[in-house]
Amino acid sequence: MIEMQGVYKRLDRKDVLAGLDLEVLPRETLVILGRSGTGKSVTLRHIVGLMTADRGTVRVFGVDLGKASPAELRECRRRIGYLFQDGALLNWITVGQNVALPLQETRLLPKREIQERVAECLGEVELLDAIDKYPSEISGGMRKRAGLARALATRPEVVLYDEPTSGLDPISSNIINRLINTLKSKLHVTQVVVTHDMNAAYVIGDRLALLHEGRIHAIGTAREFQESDDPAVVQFTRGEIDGPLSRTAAGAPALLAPHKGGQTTTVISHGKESR
Amino acid sequence: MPLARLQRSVESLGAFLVQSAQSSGFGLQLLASAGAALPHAASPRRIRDILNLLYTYSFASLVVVLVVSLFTGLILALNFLITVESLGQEHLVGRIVAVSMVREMGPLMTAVILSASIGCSIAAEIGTMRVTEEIDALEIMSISPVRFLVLPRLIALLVLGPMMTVFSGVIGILGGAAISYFQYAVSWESFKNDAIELLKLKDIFTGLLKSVVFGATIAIVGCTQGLQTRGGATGVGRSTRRSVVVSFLLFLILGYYITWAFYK
Repeated sequence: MIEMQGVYKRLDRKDVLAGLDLEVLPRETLVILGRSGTGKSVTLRHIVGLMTADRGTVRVFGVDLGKASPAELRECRRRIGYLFQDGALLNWITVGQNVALPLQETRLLPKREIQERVAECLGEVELLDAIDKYPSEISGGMRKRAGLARALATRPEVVLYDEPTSGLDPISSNIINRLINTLKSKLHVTQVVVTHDMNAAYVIGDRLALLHEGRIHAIGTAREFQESDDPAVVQFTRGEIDGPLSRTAAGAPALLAPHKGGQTTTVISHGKESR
Repeated sequence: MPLARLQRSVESLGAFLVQSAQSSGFGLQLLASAGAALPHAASPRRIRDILNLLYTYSFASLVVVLVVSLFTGLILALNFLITVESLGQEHLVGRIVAVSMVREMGPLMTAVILSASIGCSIAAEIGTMRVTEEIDALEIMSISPVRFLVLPRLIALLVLGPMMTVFSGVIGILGGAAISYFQYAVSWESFKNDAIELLKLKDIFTGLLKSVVFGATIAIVGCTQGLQTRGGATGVGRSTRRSVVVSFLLFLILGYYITWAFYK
Protein backbone atom coordinates (compact mmCIF):
# COMPACT_ATOMS: atom_id res chain seq x y z
CA MET A 1 0.00 0.00 0.00
CA ILE A 2 2.84 2.36 0.93
CA GLU A 3 6.36 1.59 -0.14
CA MET A 4 9.51 3.65 0.29
CA GLN A 5 12.70 2.40 -1.31
CA GLY A 6 16.15 3.91 -0.85
CA VAL A 7 14.76 7.33 -0.04
CA TYR A 8 17.27 10.11 0.53
CA LYS A 9 16.37 13.62 1.62
CA ARG A 10 18.82 16.38 2.47
CA LEU A 11 17.58 19.41 4.37
CA ASP A 12 19.68 22.28 5.70
CA ARG A 13 22.91 20.46 4.82
CA LYS A 14 21.88 17.36 6.74
CA ASP A 15 20.85 13.96 5.36
CA VAL A 16 17.53 13.59 7.16
CA LEU A 17 16.64 10.44 5.26
CA ALA A 18 19.59 8.33 4.14
CA GLY A 19 18.39 5.37 2.13
CA LEU A 20 15.13 4.74 3.97
CA ASP A 21 13.34 1.50 3.10
CA LEU A 22 9.86 1.09 4.52
CA GLU A 23 6.75 -0.83 3.61
CA VAL A 24 3.35 -0.28 5.17
CA LEU A 25 1.04 -3.23 4.70
CA PRO A 26 -2.68 -2.87 4.00
CA ARG A 27 -4.84 -2.55 7.14
CA GLU A 28 -1.92 -2.42 9.54
CA THR A 29 -1.03 0.29 12.03
CA LEU A 30 2.66 1.04 11.78
CA VAL A 31 4.19 3.18 14.49
CA ILE A 32 7.36 5.06 13.59
CA LEU A 33 9.54 5.78 16.59
CA GLY A 34 12.76 7.69 16.91
CA ARG A 35 14.52 10.55 18.58
CA SER A 36 13.64 14.12 17.64
CA GLY A 37 15.16 15.18 14.35
CA THR A 38 15.58 11.69 12.96
CA GLY A 39 13.18 12.29 10.07
CA LYS A 40 9.90 10.81 11.30
CA SER A 41 7.73 13.74 10.19
CA VAL A 42 9.78 14.07 7.01
CA THR A 43 8.91 10.43 6.26
CA LEU A 44 5.19 11.20 6.62
CA ARG A 45 5.53 14.27 4.41
CA HIS A 46 7.05 12.10 1.69
CA ILE A 47 4.17 9.63 1.90
CA VAL A 48 1.65 12.39 1.27
CA GLY A 49 3.69 14.15 -1.42
CA LEU A 50 4.42 17.31 0.54
CA MET A 51 8.11 16.56 0.01
CA THR A 52 9.78 14.78 -2.84
CA ALA A 53 12.74 12.47 -2.38
CA ASP A 54 16.16 13.56 -3.60
CA ARG A 55 16.74 9.92 -4.51
CA GLY A 56 14.70 6.75 -4.20
CA THR A 57 11.02 6.03 -4.76
CA VAL A 58 7.87 6.53 -2.74
CA ARG A 59 4.87 4.53 -3.93
CA VAL A 60 1.41 5.06 -2.51
CA PHE A 61 -1.54 3.01 -3.86
CA GLY A 62 0.88 1.89 -6.58
CA VAL A 63 1.57 5.45 -7.74
CA ASP A 64 5.18 6.66 -7.81
CA LEU A 65 4.76 10.07 -6.19
CA GLY A 66 8.01 11.32 -7.70
CA LYS A 67 6.57 10.87 -11.19
CA ALA A 68 2.88 11.42 -10.45
CA SER A 69 0.91 14.06 -12.35
CA PRO A 70 -0.91 16.71 -10.30
CA ALA A 71 -4.19 14.86 -10.92
CA GLU A 72 -2.70 11.54 -9.73
CA LEU A 73 -1.28 13.25 -6.66
CA ARG A 74 -4.67 14.82 -5.88
CA GLU A 75 -6.35 11.45 -6.26
CA CYS A 76 -3.83 9.83 -3.89
CA ARG A 77 -4.28 12.59 -1.35
CA ARG A 78 -8.06 12.21 -1.44
CA ARG A 79 -7.57 8.69 -0.12
CA ILE A 80 -5.29 9.86 2.70
CA GLY A 81 -6.10 11.64 5.96
CA TYR A 82 -3.35 13.50 7.82
CA LEU A 83 -3.32 14.65 11.41
CA PHE A 84 -0.83 17.47 11.98
CA GLN A 85 0.94 18.01 15.28
CA ASP A 86 -1.16 21.04 16.19
CA GLY A 87 -4.25 20.18 14.20
CA ALA A 88 -3.56 22.86 11.52
CA LEU A 89 -7.13 24.16 11.68
CA LEU A 90 -8.04 27.33 9.81
CA ASN A 91 -8.64 29.85 12.57
CA TRP A 92 -11.22 32.06 10.85
CA ILE A 93 -13.84 29.34 10.55
CA THR A 94 -15.49 27.22 13.23
CA VAL A 95 -14.52 23.69 14.18
CA GLY A 96 -17.56 22.36 12.32
CA GLN A 97 -16.68 24.35 9.20
CA ASN A 98 -13.11 23.09 9.41
CA VAL A 99 -14.32 19.49 9.41
CA ALA A 100 -16.72 20.23 6.56
CA LEU A 101 -14.05 22.01 4.49
CA PRO A 102 -12.56 19.04 2.58
CA LEU A 103 -16.06 17.77 1.80
CA GLN A 104 -17.31 21.13 0.58
CA GLU A 105 -14.26 22.16 -1.40
CA THR A 106 -13.83 18.85 -3.18
CA ARG A 107 -17.59 18.21 -3.44
CA LEU A 108 -17.25 14.70 -2.13
CA LEU A 109 -20.71 14.70 -0.57
CA PRO A 110 -24.01 16.42 -1.30
CA LYS A 111 -24.68 19.45 0.91
CA ARG A 112 -27.30 17.76 3.08
CA GLU A 113 -24.99 14.87 3.95
CA ILE A 114 -22.08 17.07 4.90
CA GLN A 115 -23.60 18.22 8.20
CA GLU A 116 -24.39 14.63 9.13
CA ARG A 117 -20.81 13.57 8.38
CA VAL A 118 -19.39 16.52 10.35
CA ALA A 119 -21.50 15.62 13.39
CA GLU A 120 -20.50 11.98 13.03
CA CYS A 121 -16.77 12.76 12.88
CA LEU A 122 -16.88 15.23 15.75
CA GLY A 123 -18.85 12.67 17.76
CA GLU A 124 -16.12 10.10 17.14
CA VAL A 125 -13.53 12.38 18.75
CA GLU A 126 -16.01 13.45 21.48
CA LEU A 127 -16.02 17.05 20.35
CA LEU A 128 -19.60 17.62 19.24
CA ASP A 129 -20.01 20.38 21.82
CA ALA A 130 -17.32 22.43 20.10
CA ILE A 131 -18.90 22.37 16.64
CA ASP A 132 -19.65 26.12 16.65
CA LYS A 133 -16.50 27.22 18.42
CA TYR A 134 -13.50 28.79 16.74
CA PRO A 135 -10.10 27.07 17.03
CA SER A 136 -8.85 29.93 19.23
CA GLU A 137 -11.64 29.18 21.72
CA ILE A 138 -10.65 25.56 22.37
CA SER A 139 -7.64 23.92 24.02
CA GLY A 140 -4.64 22.46 22.18
CA GLY A 141 -5.84 18.93 22.81
CA MET A 142 -9.28 19.75 21.45
CA ARG A 143 -7.72 21.34 18.38
CA LYS A 144 -5.79 18.15 17.77
CA ARG A 145 -8.96 16.07 18.09
CA ALA A 146 -10.76 18.47 15.74
CA GLY A 147 -7.87 18.04 13.31
CA LEU A 148 -8.35 14.29 13.53
CA ALA A 149 -12.09 14.67 12.87
CA ARG A 150 -11.22 16.68 9.75
CA ALA A 151 -8.71 14.04 8.65
CA LEU A 152 -11.41 11.39 8.97
CA ALA A 153 -14.17 13.39 7.28
CA THR A 154 -13.39 12.06 3.81
CA ARG A 155 -13.31 8.48 5.16
CA PRO A 156 -9.74 7.91 3.95
CA GLU A 157 -8.18 4.51 3.32
CA VAL A 158 -4.91 5.62 4.92
CA VAL A 159 -4.49 7.93 7.91
CA LEU A 160 -1.14 9.44 8.86
CA TYR A 161 -0.66 10.81 12.35
CA ASP A 162 2.12 13.21 13.30
CA GLU A 163 2.52 13.01 17.09
CA PRO A 164 -1.18 12.42 17.77
CA THR A 165 -0.87 12.32 21.56
CA SER A 166 1.94 14.76 22.27
CA GLY A 167 0.94 17.43 24.74
CA LEU A 168 -2.37 15.76 25.52
CA ASP A 169 -3.73 14.80 28.92
CA PRO A 170 -4.01 11.03 29.51
CA ILE A 171 -7.76 10.99 28.87
CA SER A 172 -7.48 12.80 25.53
CA SER A 173 -4.56 10.53 24.61
CA ASN A 174 -6.66 7.48 25.33
CA ILE A 175 -9.55 8.84 23.28
CA ILE A 176 -7.22 9.15 20.30
CA ASN A 177 -5.58 5.77 20.89
CA ARG A 178 -9.00 4.14 21.15
CA LEU A 179 -10.09 5.84 17.95
CA ILE A 180 -6.98 4.63 16.13
CA ASN A 181 -7.75 1.08 17.26
CA THR A 182 -11.41 1.44 16.28
CA LEU A 183 -10.47 2.65 12.80
CA LYS A 184 -8.21 -0.37 12.46
CA SER A 185 -10.67 -2.97 13.73
CA LYS A 186 -13.94 -1.67 12.26
CA LEU A 187 -13.01 0.28 9.15
CA HIS A 188 -9.73 -1.55 8.38
CA VAL A 189 -7.93 1.72 7.80
CA THR A 190 -4.18 1.57 7.16
CA GLN A 191 -2.44 3.86 9.60
CA VAL A 192 1.04 5.27 10.09
CA VAL A 193 1.67 6.92 13.43
CA VAL A 194 4.72 8.98 14.32
CA THR A 195 5.12 9.23 18.07
CA HIS A 196 7.48 9.32 21.01
CA ASP A 197 4.84 7.91 23.30
CA MET A 198 5.90 4.30 23.95
CA ASN A 199 2.71 3.44 25.85
CA ALA A 200 0.62 4.58 22.89
CA ALA A 201 2.91 2.71 20.50
CA TYR A 202 2.38 -0.56 22.38
CA VAL A 203 -1.39 -0.04 22.50
CA ILE A 204 -1.99 0.89 18.87
CA GLY A 205 0.87 -0.53 16.84
CA ASP A 206 0.70 -3.75 14.84
CA ARG A 207 4.34 -3.09 14.04
CA LEU A 208 6.80 -0.63 15.43
CA ALA A 209 9.73 0.82 13.48
CA LEU A 210 12.68 2.61 15.05
CA LEU A 211 14.12 5.32 12.82
CA HIS A 212 17.74 6.31 13.36
CA GLU A 213 20.21 8.21 11.19
CA GLY A 214 17.69 8.42 8.36
CA ARG A 215 17.03 4.67 8.14
CA ILE A 216 14.87 2.07 9.81
CA HIS A 217 17.07 0.58 12.49
CA ALA A 218 14.60 -1.94 13.86
CA ILE A 219 11.11 -3.07 12.97
CA GLY A 220 8.85 -5.59 14.66
CA THR A 221 5.79 -6.14 16.83
CA ALA A 222 5.26 -4.48 20.20
CA ARG A 223 6.15 -7.71 21.97
CA GLU A 224 9.33 -8.08 19.92
CA PHE A 225 10.31 -4.52 20.81
CA GLN A 226 9.64 -5.15 24.49
CA GLU A 227 11.67 -8.35 24.46
CA SER A 228 14.45 -7.12 22.19
CA ASP A 229 17.96 -6.86 23.58
CA ASP A 230 19.13 -4.66 20.73
CA PRO A 231 20.88 -1.79 22.54
CA ALA A 232 19.22 0.92 20.44
CA VAL A 233 15.76 -0.54 20.95
CA VAL A 234 16.40 -1.02 24.65
CA GLN A 235 17.71 2.53 24.99
CA PHE A 236 14.74 4.06 23.18
CA THR A 237 12.02 2.02 24.83
CA ARG A 238 13.46 2.64 28.30
CA GLY A 239 14.43 6.25 27.62
CA GLU A 240 18.00 5.72 28.72
CA ILE A 241 20.37 8.64 28.26
CA ASP A 242 23.44 6.64 27.26
CA GLY A 243 23.43 4.22 24.39
CA PRO A 244 23.82 3.84 20.65
CA LEU A 245 21.11 6.39 19.87
CA SER A 246 23.05 9.06 21.76
CA ARG A 247 25.78 10.82 19.88
CA THR A 248 29.37 10.39 20.91
CA ALA A 249 31.50 13.33 21.95
CA ALA A 250 32.87 13.52 18.41
CA GLY A 251 29.32 13.90 17.08
CA ALA A 252 29.29 10.56 15.30
CA PRO A 253 26.68 7.92 16.12
CA ALA A 254 27.77 5.30 18.60
CA LEU A 255 28.44 1.86 17.18
CA LEU A 256 25.47 -0.48 17.17
CA ALA A 257 25.88 -3.72 18.97
CA PRO A 258 25.25 -6.89 16.95
CA HIS A 259 21.59 -7.81 16.90
CA LYS A 260 20.56 -10.81 18.98
CA GLY A 261 16.83 -10.28 18.84
CA GLY A 262 13.88 -12.59 18.37
CA GLN A 263 12.78 -14.45 15.30
CA THR A 264 10.85 -11.77 13.47
CA THR A 265 12.35 -8.50 14.58
CA THR A 266 14.31 -7.13 11.70
CA VAL A 267 17.26 -4.97 12.48
CA ILE A 268 18.78 -2.93 9.76
CA SER A 269 22.18 -1.59 10.50
CA HIS A 270 24.02 0.63 8.04
CA GLY A 271 21.70 -0.55 5.26
CA LYS A 272 22.41 -4.27 5.77
CA GLU A 273 19.55 -6.35 6.94
CA SER A 274 20.02 -9.10 9.50
CA ARG A 275 17.55 -11.37 11.22
CA MET B 1 40.76 37.68 6.68
CA PRO B 2 39.77 40.37 4.14
CA LEU B 3 39.54 37.64 1.50
CA ALA B 4 37.22 35.60 3.70
CA ARG B 5 35.07 38.68 4.31
CA LEU B 6 34.94 39.40 0.59
CA GLN B 7 33.97 35.79 -0.06
CA ARG B 8 31.14 36.02 2.50
CA SER B 9 29.93 39.28 0.94
CA VAL B 10 29.91 37.76 -2.54
CA GLU B 11 28.09 34.70 -1.19
CA SER B 12 25.50 36.91 0.51
CA LEU B 13 24.99 38.94 -2.66
CA GLY B 14 24.67 35.76 -4.69
CA ALA B 15 22.16 34.30 -2.25
CA PHE B 16 20.16 37.54 -2.33
CA LEU B 17 20.07 37.57 -6.13
CA VAL B 18 19.10 33.91 -6.34
CA GLN B 19 16.36 34.41 -3.74
CA SER B 20 15.06 37.51 -5.54
CA ALA B 21 14.97 35.66 -8.86
CA GLN B 22 13.20 32.68 -7.27
CA SER B 23 10.69 34.94 -5.54
CA SER B 24 9.97 36.86 -8.76
CA GLY B 25 9.50 33.61 -10.66
CA PHE B 26 7.20 32.26 -7.97
CA GLY B 27 5.17 35.50 -8.00
CA LEU B 28 4.72 35.39 -11.78
CA GLN B 29 3.77 31.73 -11.61
CA LEU B 30 1.24 32.56 -8.88
CA LEU B 31 -0.24 35.33 -11.03
CA ALA B 32 -0.55 32.95 -13.98
CA SER B 33 -2.11 30.23 -11.79
CA ALA B 34 -4.58 32.73 -10.31
CA GLY B 35 -5.43 33.92 -13.83
CA ALA B 36 -6.03 30.34 -14.93
CA ALA B 37 -8.23 29.79 -11.86
CA LEU B 38 -10.42 32.84 -12.59
CA PRO B 39 -13.44 30.77 -13.74
CA HIS B 40 -13.59 29.27 -10.23
CA ALA B 41 -14.21 32.73 -8.79
CA ALA B 42 -17.80 32.49 -10.00
CA SER B 43 -18.71 29.81 -7.45
CA PRO B 44 -21.02 31.02 -4.64
CA ARG B 45 -18.44 30.08 -1.99
CA ARG B 46 -15.68 32.16 -3.63
CA ILE B 47 -18.03 35.09 -4.27
CA ARG B 48 -18.89 35.08 -0.57
CA ASP B 49 -15.17 34.99 0.32
CA ILE B 50 -14.46 37.89 -2.05
CA LEU B 51 -17.30 40.02 -0.64
CA ASN B 52 -16.15 39.33 2.92
CA LEU B 53 -12.60 40.35 2.03
CA LEU B 54 -13.81 43.48 0.22
CA TYR B 55 -15.81 44.49 3.28
CA THR B 56 -12.88 43.89 5.64
CA TYR B 57 -10.29 45.55 3.42
CA SER B 58 -12.49 48.60 2.72
CA PHE B 59 -12.99 49.34 6.40
CA ALA B 60 -9.33 48.67 7.15
CA SER B 61 -8.17 51.34 4.70
CA LEU B 62 -11.02 53.84 4.20
CA VAL B 63 -10.16 56.36 6.92
CA VAL B 64 -6.43 56.34 6.14
CA VAL B 65 -7.09 56.81 2.39
CA LEU B 66 -9.43 59.69 3.21
CA VAL B 67 -6.96 61.51 5.47
CA VAL B 68 -3.90 60.91 3.26
CA SER B 69 -5.73 61.91 0.05
CA LEU B 70 -7.15 65.05 1.64
CA PHE B 71 -3.72 66.19 2.77
CA THR B 72 -2.13 65.21 -0.54
CA GLY B 73 -4.62 67.49 -2.32
CA LEU B 74 -3.97 70.24 0.23
CA ILE B 75 -0.20 69.98 -0.15
CA LEU B 76 -0.33 69.92 -3.97
CA ALA B 77 -2.58 72.98 -4.11
CA LEU B 78 -0.67 74.87 -1.43
CA ASN B 79 2.71 74.30 -3.05
CA PHE B 80 1.43 75.39 -6.45
CA LEU B 81 -0.33 78.47 -5.06
CA ILE B 82 2.75 79.55 -3.06
CA THR B 83 4.88 79.24 -6.21
CA VAL B 84 2.59 81.07 -8.64
CA GLU B 85 1.11 83.63 -6.25
CA SER B 86 3.58 86.32 -7.31
CA LEU B 87 2.81 85.59 -11.00
CA GLY B 88 -0.95 85.88 -10.55
CA GLN B 89 -1.58 82.43 -11.98
CA GLU B 90 -3.65 81.04 -9.10
CA HIS B 91 -6.53 80.17 -11.46
CA LEU B 92 -4.41 77.31 -12.87
CA VAL B 93 -4.47 75.40 -9.59
CA GLY B 94 -7.43 73.23 -10.68
CA ARG B 95 -5.55 71.54 -13.51
CA ILE B 96 -2.46 70.88 -11.41
CA VAL B 97 -4.36 69.27 -8.54
CA ALA B 98 -6.77 67.33 -10.78
CA VAL B 99 -4.16 65.93 -13.15
CA SER B 100 -1.73 65.08 -10.35
CA MET B 101 -4.37 63.38 -8.24
CA VAL B 102 -6.01 61.46 -11.07
CA ARG B 103 -2.94 60.41 -13.01
CA GLU B 104 -0.22 59.98 -10.39
CA MET B 105 -0.76 60.80 -6.75
CA GLY B 106 -4.19 59.20 -6.30
CA PRO B 107 -3.18 55.75 -7.59
CA LEU B 108 0.24 55.87 -5.91
CA MET B 109 -0.88 57.10 -2.49
CA THR B 110 -3.79 54.66 -2.48
CA ALA B 111 -1.51 51.79 -3.43
CA VAL B 112 0.97 52.73 -0.70
CA ILE B 113 -1.81 52.78 1.90
CA LEU B 114 -3.35 49.51 0.68
CA SER B 115 0.06 47.86 0.66
CA ALA B 116 0.88 49.02 4.18
CA SER B 117 -2.51 48.12 5.61
CA ILE B 118 -3.68 45.15 3.53
CA GLY B 119 -0.68 43.78 1.61
CA CYS B 120 1.32 43.21 4.76
CA SER B 121 -1.67 41.68 6.54
CA ILE B 122 -2.05 39.23 3.64
CA ALA B 123 1.64 38.30 3.91
CA ALA B 124 1.37 37.89 7.69
CA GLU B 125 -1.85 35.87 7.51
CA ILE B 126 -0.68 33.48 4.80
CA GLY B 127 2.82 33.35 6.32
CA THR B 128 1.35 32.28 9.66
CA MET B 129 -0.73 29.67 7.85
CA ARG B 130 2.45 28.42 6.21
CA VAL B 131 4.42 28.04 9.45
CA THR B 132 1.49 26.45 11.30
CA GLU B 133 1.12 23.87 8.49
CA GLU B 134 -2.36 25.10 7.49
CA ILE B 135 -1.24 25.51 3.86
CA ASP B 136 0.09 21.93 3.92
CA ALA B 137 -3.24 20.82 5.35
CA LEU B 138 -5.07 22.48 2.44
CA GLU B 139 -2.82 20.75 -0.08
CA ILE B 140 -3.36 17.38 1.54
CA MET B 141 -7.12 17.94 1.43
CA SER B 142 -6.71 18.56 -2.34
CA ILE B 143 -7.73 22.19 -1.83
CA SER B 144 -5.70 24.48 -4.06
CA PRO B 145 -4.21 27.35 -2.02
CA VAL B 146 -4.33 29.42 -5.22
CA ARG B 147 -8.09 29.03 -5.59
CA PHE B 148 -8.82 29.11 -1.87
CA LEU B 149 -6.49 31.91 -0.73
CA VAL B 150 -4.85 33.78 -3.60
CA LEU B 151 -7.76 34.16 -6.03
CA PRO B 152 -10.23 35.83 -3.59
CA ARG B 153 -7.53 38.24 -2.38
CA LEU B 154 -6.47 39.09 -5.93
CA ILE B 155 -10.02 39.81 -7.07
CA ALA B 156 -10.83 41.79 -3.91
CA LEU B 157 -7.82 44.04 -4.51
CA LEU B 158 -8.53 44.34 -8.25
CA VAL B 159 -11.91 45.78 -7.28
CA LEU B 160 -10.78 47.73 -4.23
CA GLY B 161 -7.79 49.40 -5.94
CA PRO B 162 -9.82 51.38 -8.50
CA MET B 163 -12.62 52.04 -5.97
CA MET B 164 -10.23 53.57 -3.46
CA THR B 165 -8.31 55.41 -6.17
CA VAL B 166 -11.49 57.14 -7.39
CA PHE B 167 -12.35 57.99 -3.78
CA SER B 168 -8.82 59.25 -3.18
CA GLY B 169 -8.91 61.41 -6.35
CA VAL B 170 -12.23 62.98 -5.42
CA ILE B 171 -11.14 63.73 -1.85
CA GLY B 172 -7.76 65.10 -2.97
CA ILE B 173 -9.37 67.40 -5.56
CA LEU B 174 -11.94 68.59 -3.02
CA GLY B 175 -9.13 69.29 -0.56
CA GLY B 176 -7.23 71.27 -3.19
CA ALA B 177 -10.36 73.21 -4.08
CA ALA B 178 -11.06 73.97 -0.43
CA ILE B 179 -7.64 75.40 0.32
CA SER B 180 -7.68 77.38 -2.97
CA TYR B 181 -11.01 78.91 -2.02
CA PHE B 182 -10.39 79.62 1.65
CA GLN B 183 -6.77 80.81 1.49
CA TYR B 184 -6.37 82.17 -2.06
CA ALA B 185 -9.95 83.10 -3.04
CA VAL B 186 -9.96 80.85 -6.12
CA SER B 187 -13.66 80.18 -6.75
CA TRP B 188 -15.02 76.66 -7.05
CA GLU B 189 -16.26 77.45 -10.57
CA SER B 190 -12.81 78.59 -11.67
CA PHE B 191 -11.15 75.56 -10.05
CA LYS B 192 -13.64 73.14 -11.63
CA ASN B 193 -13.50 74.68 -15.11
CA ASP B 194 -9.72 74.68 -15.14
CA ALA B 195 -9.60 71.07 -13.94
CA ILE B 196 -12.13 69.90 -16.53
CA GLU B 197 -10.39 71.84 -19.30
CA LEU B 198 -7.10 70.03 -18.89
CA LEU B 199 -8.16 66.66 -17.52
CA LYS B 200 -8.44 64.19 -20.40
CA LEU B 201 -10.10 60.81 -20.57
CA LYS B 202 -6.63 59.37 -21.04
CA ASP B 203 -5.60 60.72 -17.63
CA ILE B 204 -8.54 59.00 -15.98
CA PHE B 205 -7.85 55.78 -17.85
CA THR B 206 -4.15 55.87 -16.95
CA GLY B 207 -4.98 56.42 -13.29
CA LEU B 208 -7.48 53.56 -13.26
CA LEU B 209 -5.09 51.25 -15.09
CA LYS B 210 -2.41 51.99 -12.53
CA SER B 211 -4.84 51.29 -9.71
CA VAL B 212 -5.70 47.89 -11.21
CA VAL B 213 -2.01 47.02 -11.74
CA PHE B 214 -1.11 48.20 -8.24
CA GLY B 215 -4.01 46.23 -6.73
CA ALA B 216 -2.81 43.06 -8.43
CA THR B 217 0.74 43.82 -7.29
CA ILE B 218 -0.33 44.15 -3.64
CA ALA B 219 -2.23 40.86 -3.72
CA ILE B 220 0.41 38.84 -5.57
CA VAL B 221 3.37 40.20 -3.61
CA GLY B 222 1.54 39.64 -0.28
CA CYS B 223 0.57 36.09 -1.23
CA THR B 224 4.02 35.31 -2.65
CA GLN B 225 5.80 36.46 0.48
CA GLY B 226 3.28 34.65 2.67
CA LEU B 227 3.52 31.37 0.82
CA GLN B 228 7.33 31.53 0.82
CA THR B 229 7.55 32.13 4.56
CA ARG B 230 10.02 29.96 6.44
CA GLY B 231 11.16 29.96 10.04
CA GLY B 232 8.35 30.67 12.49
CA ALA B 233 7.47 34.08 13.87
CA THR B 234 10.71 35.67 12.63
CA GLY B 235 9.96 34.43 9.14
CA VAL B 236 6.45 35.89 9.26
CA GLY B 237 7.90 39.27 10.28
CA ARG B 238 10.45 39.08 7.45
CA SER B 239 7.75 38.25 4.89
CA THR B 240 5.56 41.10 6.08
CA ARG B 241 8.39 43.62 5.79
CA ARG B 242 9.42 42.31 2.37
CA SER B 243 5.87 42.50 1.04
CA VAL B 244 5.75 46.24 1.74
CA VAL B 245 9.26 46.97 0.42
CA VAL B 246 8.82 44.94 -2.77
CA SER B 247 5.37 46.44 -3.41
CA PHE B 248 6.67 50.01 -3.02
CA LEU B 249 9.49 49.35 -5.47
CA LEU B 250 7.10 47.81 -7.98
CA PHE B 251 4.65 50.74 -7.67
CA LEU B 252 7.38 53.15 -8.68
CA ILE B 253 8.77 51.00 -11.49
CA LEU B 254 5.39 49.97 -12.94
CA GLY B 255 3.96 53.47 -12.46
CA TYR B 256 6.84 54.96 -14.41
CA TYR B 257 6.42 52.52 -17.29
CA ILE B 258 2.65 53.01 -17.50
CA THR B 259 3.05 56.79 -17.64
CA TRP B 260 5.85 56.38 -20.18
CA ALA B 261 3.72 54.07 -22.34
CA PHE B 262 0.80 56.53 -22.47
CA TYR B 263 2.51 59.90 -22.61
CA LYS B 264 5.88 59.42 -24.23
